[in-house]
Amino acid sequence: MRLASLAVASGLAGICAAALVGTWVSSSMLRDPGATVPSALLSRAWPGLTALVGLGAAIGAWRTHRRIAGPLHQVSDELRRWLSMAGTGMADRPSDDIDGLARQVHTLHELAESRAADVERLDAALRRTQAEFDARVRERTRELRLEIAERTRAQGQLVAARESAEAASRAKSAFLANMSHELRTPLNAIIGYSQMLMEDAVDTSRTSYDDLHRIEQAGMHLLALINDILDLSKIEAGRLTLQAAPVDAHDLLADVLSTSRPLVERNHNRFVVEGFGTVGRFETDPMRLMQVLLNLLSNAGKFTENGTVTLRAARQTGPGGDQIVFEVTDTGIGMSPDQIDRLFVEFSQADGSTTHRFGGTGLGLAISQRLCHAMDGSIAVTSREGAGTSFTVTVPARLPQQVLALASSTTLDDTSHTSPGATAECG
Amino acid sequence: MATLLIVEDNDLNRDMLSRRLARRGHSIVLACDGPEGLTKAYTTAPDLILMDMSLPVMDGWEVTRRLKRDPVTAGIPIIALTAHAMAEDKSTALLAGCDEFETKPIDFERLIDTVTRLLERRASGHHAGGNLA
Repeated sequence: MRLASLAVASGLAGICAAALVGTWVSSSMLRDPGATVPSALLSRAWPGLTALVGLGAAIGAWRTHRRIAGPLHQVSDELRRWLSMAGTGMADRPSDDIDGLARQVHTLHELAESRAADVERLDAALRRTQAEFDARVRERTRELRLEIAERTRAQGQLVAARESAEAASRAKSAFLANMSHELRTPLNAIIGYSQMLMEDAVDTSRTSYDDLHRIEQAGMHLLALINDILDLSKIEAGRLTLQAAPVDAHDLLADVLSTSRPLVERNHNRFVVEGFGTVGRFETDPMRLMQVLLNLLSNAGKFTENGTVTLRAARQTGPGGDQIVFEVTDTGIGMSPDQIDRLFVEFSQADGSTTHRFGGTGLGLAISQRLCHAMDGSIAVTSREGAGTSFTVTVPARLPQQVLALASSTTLDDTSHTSPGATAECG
Repeated sequence: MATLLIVEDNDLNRDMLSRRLARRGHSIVLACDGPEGLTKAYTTAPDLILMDMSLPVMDGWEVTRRLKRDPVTAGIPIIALTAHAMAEDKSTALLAGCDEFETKPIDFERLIDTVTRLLERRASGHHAGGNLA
């Protein structure tokens, strides 16, 4: 039932009721004989009264309609708004009657129930997800604990391995130092007796002298080997001493020349020196630098015949800082790429026969390379078979502090290298 | 020439060294271990001692320390002979009071130079101080 018609109906009902009341009043008055004058007055005023009562009834109905239908409209509008928000088709349909309102309320109720079910379902799903998540977190935590334990164990093993390696390295170094001592003692006798006999034989027997000279040379070679092995083991055991000292390029050259000239010129080679005048003063470990340069010059002299050996020095400042570059170039037999690859590896002279043909321990370049690295420098080589070889040594013009700090805790005696005979045969 | 005391436990090295030095005109006294070296330093009053550091019974460092502590023997130059090539050996030897240090195998010509130099120094010191013969 529409609300407007409800209001109209209640108005009409009011008017009818008023008419009925008027009729009933007038007729009862007419029937009452004791009330004549007012009865006449009443009967004349009757239509007016009836109209008045009707109007009052209509106004009452209208006001009733306003009071009931207005809020009902508001409720209906509000319901429609909610239903529209809920996305039901009902929102489009007008619902001006009570039934519509009831349907809307019912729909809304159903909607609320369905929403409540949804919420419950979602809540259950959320609880399930939460439980799954918790389980995964627990699982992952367990995995991580295991992983941490595993890593801690691995780290412990690494530390133990490192300590054991360091201990082994120290043991090796000590062993080699002792070996060196044990080997030197008989060698002292071999070389000493050979030299003594040579002193005797020099005037008496040429053959004996030559044989004794061979024994002495073999003894010297053995000594050079022992010195080099001791050197290498000290370097590898981190016991290399670097002693920084100011060096004047001219003084260095004089020292290098006095020892290396006979080695370079032995195969009728020309010895050329260049560039030392431009280098000036710098700071390095002069003993170690000498050791490297003498080794390279000795090699150059050894593998070059009737050729030229050039020792070049230069100072260069570039991205690498202030550096001194030494270059030892020869016009000798040179090397193949394969030989160059193996050059800095211990005991790897070009081929097995080289040691016998040219002498040397096969350790000189390995030691030189390690010494250059220890001085924070580098050594490089270019060579072509039959066309000569060129070694380039680059050292910083000032020994870095960390290199010296590293070396300060080490001890290595330099006396084993100062013997030119021993050093010269390296390589 | 001078009297040299050689304290060396290795037979070959003692024999070789003594014969080579004798050829250079020195008179040689031999000792095979620490205590014998110590005794002979007093009994033979050598001009110079060549001391191996690794000796049985009492090592060369200890013999040197004792000789250098006693004013009677303190003036005798001592050359340490060792087959060890480590720096600590050299510093220990010099700390013990050795005047020079040579590594085996001995570079004989260098040894002769050192011996000569020490004997000359002692002779000049001797003249100045007027101490020992």
